[in-house]
Amino acid sequence: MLTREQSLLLQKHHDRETRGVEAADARALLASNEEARLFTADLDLMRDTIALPSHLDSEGLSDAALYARIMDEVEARSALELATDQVLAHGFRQELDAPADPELFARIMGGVAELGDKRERAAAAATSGSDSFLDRLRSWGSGWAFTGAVALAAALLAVTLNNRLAAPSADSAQADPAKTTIINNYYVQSPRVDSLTPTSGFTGSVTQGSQADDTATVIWLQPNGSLATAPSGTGPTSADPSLAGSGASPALPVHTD
Amino acid sequence: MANAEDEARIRKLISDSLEGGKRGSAAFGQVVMTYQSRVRAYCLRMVNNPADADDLTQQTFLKVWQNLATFRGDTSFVAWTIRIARNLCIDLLRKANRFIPTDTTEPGNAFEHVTDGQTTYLSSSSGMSAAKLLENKETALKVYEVLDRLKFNQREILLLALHQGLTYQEMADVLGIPIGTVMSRLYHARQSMQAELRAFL
Repeated sequence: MLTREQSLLLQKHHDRETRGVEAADARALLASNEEARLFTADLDLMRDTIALPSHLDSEGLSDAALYARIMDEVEARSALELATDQVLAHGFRQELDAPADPELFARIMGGVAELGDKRERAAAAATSGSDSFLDRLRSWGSGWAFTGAVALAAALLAVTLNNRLAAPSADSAQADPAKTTIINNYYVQSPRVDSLTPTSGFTGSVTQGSQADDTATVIWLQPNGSLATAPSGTGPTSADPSLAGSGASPALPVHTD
Repeated sequence: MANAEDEARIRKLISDSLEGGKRGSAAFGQVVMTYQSRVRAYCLRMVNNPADADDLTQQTFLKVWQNLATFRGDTSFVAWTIRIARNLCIDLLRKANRFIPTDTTEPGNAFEHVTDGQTTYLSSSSGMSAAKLLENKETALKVYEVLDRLKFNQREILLLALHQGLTYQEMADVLGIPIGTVMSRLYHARQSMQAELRAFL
């Protein structure tokens, strides 16, 4: 009969996560205790303990031979378990290490922005208790400010507004205030960014939400899938809704996580 | 399994996210970026469909965002997030009549190696020593095939343990079961894997 200690030892031996002893330790402990007799004393218990295959107890083996077979089985199983885990973990690790898909990231953040919009509007409506055009306009403005939060200011970063709207490049895209957009493989969430390139920055106009004390952090997804942020910039000096301008390249001073 | 430093960083980002505004949104963007691949890979393994996995990943993070204030921190953030993803995956499988919760494999879940054009799942480039098994793509494919044939709860526990690297406690939190059940389920899942693989290997 296996002692409780030996039984636990074997269980641990089979559970890689909690294994506290190595196979050699198990062998030494078992060998010190008339191992052959030990293993034939209660094969049912052994079967329960280490799921001993039935063929091992029906071949008329000597105790010593049976013990050897059992230990081979134990070690082979451990090796198989380890190999199985490692094969899976290896394949899985590649999945986990895969770069994030920029489009999916943009989708997610676009959805988050929309939710933020709704939340802000609901909060504004609840606070005001009215539904006047002016209130709705205000809540919309508040919601919009959230929408632009991530990179409201791709257009505000280090911006020198010059009241001049540069002509958009051929591959430019206009960003919807409520949605994220990918421009030249950069994730952009900004109300009016017409174009953006790593070397020359962006061009576009800031048409809403500009506040004198706005600061913003630009966050975007680089083509390699990593996230980059740039230092905060200062927004325009007035809330002129028709401001337009161009900004420094967000690809210059970056911090990559 | 997140180490303490990672968990502290994420909790700071969560705290920042809850502040709302630009800073909050930027912080949540970093949270998404940190876990996006992980959540998508989990969803993909659960539903075996890249388009569904994308949708589920998006839904997961939207739910995370909506419920961020309710995250109490009594489990790790990744376990909390994976639990949300799991519930969404199971909802989808139920709707598609592909979810049978306990002791059977999913119907129609015969092996089909997952590929979506974005990720190379199998490679022999690793220097792992366990075995030349890893150098053999056919063997690796066989392992995946066997995994896909396991009973749902066994496959799931292996995904959480080996794919997500969760601790026993985290797995218990995700599944809502006692830690002892996690251990025995994992044990039996490994037994099943090995029984299937024994003939092949």
